[in-house]
Amino acid sequence: MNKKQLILHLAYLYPKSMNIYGDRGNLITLIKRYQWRNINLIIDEIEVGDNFNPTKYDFVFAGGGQDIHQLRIAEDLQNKKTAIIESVNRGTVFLLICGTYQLFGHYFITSTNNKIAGIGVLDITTIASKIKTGKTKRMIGNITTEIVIPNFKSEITTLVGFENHSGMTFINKDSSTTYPLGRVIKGFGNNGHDKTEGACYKNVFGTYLHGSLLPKNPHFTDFLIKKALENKYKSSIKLVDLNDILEYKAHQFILNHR
Amino acid sequence: MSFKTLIPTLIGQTISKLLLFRNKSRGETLPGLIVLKINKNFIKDTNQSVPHRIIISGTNGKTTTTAMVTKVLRDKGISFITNPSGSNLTRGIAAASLNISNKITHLLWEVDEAALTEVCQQVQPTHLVFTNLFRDQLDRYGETDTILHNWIILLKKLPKLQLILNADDPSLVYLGQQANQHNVIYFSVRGNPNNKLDDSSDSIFCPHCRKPLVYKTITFSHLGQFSCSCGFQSPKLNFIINSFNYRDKYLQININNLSNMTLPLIGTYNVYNSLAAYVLLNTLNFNNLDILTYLKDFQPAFGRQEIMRIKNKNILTILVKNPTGFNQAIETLIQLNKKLTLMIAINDKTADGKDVSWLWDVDFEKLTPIIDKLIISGDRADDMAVRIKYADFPNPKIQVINDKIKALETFLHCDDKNLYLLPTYTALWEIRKLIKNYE
Repeated sequence: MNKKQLILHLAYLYPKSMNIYGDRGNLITLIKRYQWRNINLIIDEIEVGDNFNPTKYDFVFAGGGQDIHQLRIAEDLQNKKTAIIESVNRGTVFLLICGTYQLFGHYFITSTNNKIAGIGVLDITTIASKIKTGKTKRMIGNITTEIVIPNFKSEITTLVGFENHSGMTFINKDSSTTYPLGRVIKGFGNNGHDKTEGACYKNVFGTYLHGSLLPKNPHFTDFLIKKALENKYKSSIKLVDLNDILEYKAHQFILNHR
Repeated sequence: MSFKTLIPTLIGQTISKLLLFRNKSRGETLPGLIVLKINKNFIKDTNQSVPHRIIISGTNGKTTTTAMVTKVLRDKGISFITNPSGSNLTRGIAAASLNISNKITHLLWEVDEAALTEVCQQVQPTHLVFTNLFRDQLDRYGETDTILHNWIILLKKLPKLQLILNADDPSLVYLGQQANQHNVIYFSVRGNPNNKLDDSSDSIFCPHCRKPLVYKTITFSHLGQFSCSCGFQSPKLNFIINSFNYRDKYLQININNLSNMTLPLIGTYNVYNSLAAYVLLNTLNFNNLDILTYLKDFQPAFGRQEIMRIKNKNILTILVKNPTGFNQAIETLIQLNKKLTLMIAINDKTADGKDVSWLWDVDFEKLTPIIDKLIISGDRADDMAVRIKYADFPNPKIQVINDKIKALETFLHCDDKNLYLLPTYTALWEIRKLIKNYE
């Protein structure tokens, strides 16, 4: 890497209300892996009512939350919709876990049959299992998927984590823009039926995996880190290798417990 | 004893004795399961003739609070029954209820949040204490909002009782307002105006209008003196601790600027536990001096600052189950003001929670500066090791020993005479068993 100090701006959306399943772990992992490579990462926390500047950020992270918080967030996201879409079109990397993943789709029908509008960045819809099947089904447990992002190059292609959701997410069958993040090897994934997990569009990556996701999937973390840098500096970047023995041991644990 | 309870009791007691003969730990709940199969209202039929029926629940502190109350009841010579820590589900209460006789005047049940509705409907408590509500094993308990909602529904259905609540927890204050219960007593510990909310604090939004709460003081996590522009705020207090300090491993607490309590414990969370126990006993009309005297030589409960002695080593153990509990354990170790030899053992069995993502909500960044030697073990040792690595603990110094026998061996061979152990629930059971084998 050249000598120039690289700087990235990250927006952490709704840290106070959307932080339920160790989501902070994803942020800590990003901070450390940039820091260990001497890349300067500047983080802004953006809460309900705050302004989202579409040209400022190279990376946006948002986590999951309790149902009741999700309602507040849904309203606020509508106010930020135009700015977020502009940011998506600029190639900003978005990592969205669980609750915010759902709200980046078209809508979410809750277990009380309440339709919450999303911002439609991802061509997906989510419906509570209770409404879809008549019975609440919590999709819960360790999960392993095979990453199916077309240009994903890595020796290790599995993604491991923990899922805990009752919403069933479906990618629009005719979608020309949105495709799954992974194919389920073990676990439920988006809906427990079609073997898809997560959804991607441009550099937006939504997933149900926490556990936390990034710490024990360093290949995926570095893929996102690299993407954010390359999108900002418009040139190919080679990341310094890190020692990931501990991380892959944690990864292997989930693989072994298939 | 009525006919309805006589036969199940006889069967249950026989099974209890047979099991106790063979394997002690399993003897605690299996008879409960069986008597409930024979009579599903067994708890109701045995409990409701006892005059004082006390239930203690909440996320953290229920075991220690129950143990404190137990100590006073025992020393005072009260005829009472309590359930062993760890047997706090419905079957555990049923098993303990096998011992109820006409002489018993007090029942003291520690009840798991997940079993509270079922147990309360059967027991119909006269006194109900809630310690707090924190994020805990989401795969098992679900979201805190859901738990709170269930508690409100439960309290509305229960006959009038004495409710004892932690006034510093916004969720519990909301519970007190919504519960339709007239007899509510609030207790509080004065916090620090300079403390900040943790990153993973849960109930920091107004339960009425969902705006962020404004805190004047905070003790830890989301506990403190709070208010909201809609009018929701900390309630009028009945019991308050204005000051507390530590001297020679003793906690010194002043309640209502009147009573001075001394306990052989450390940690702010134990200030809350002591207060909850004190308030309950006070409400039950125990003599003030008795309470203070009997609690002075309180012995910690299983894994709650319990000291295990082996091969001239002292292992101080603090059970860790959820982010707030773990953060409080870390704060407690920091107060010891020295570099520590520490073992962390993380399992992911059902009782521990299968989802280990909560480790990322714990502030290990505060722990790393006080560690001299660190051993990481347990089924999920690798996840724990990654967490501690990202808390800036030097990579080469992380000693991961997945095998618990080898880990314990290494731990006991460390130079330090005083060792510190932070295990999850099932990890503690496993380590205890191994320690027994050493003896």
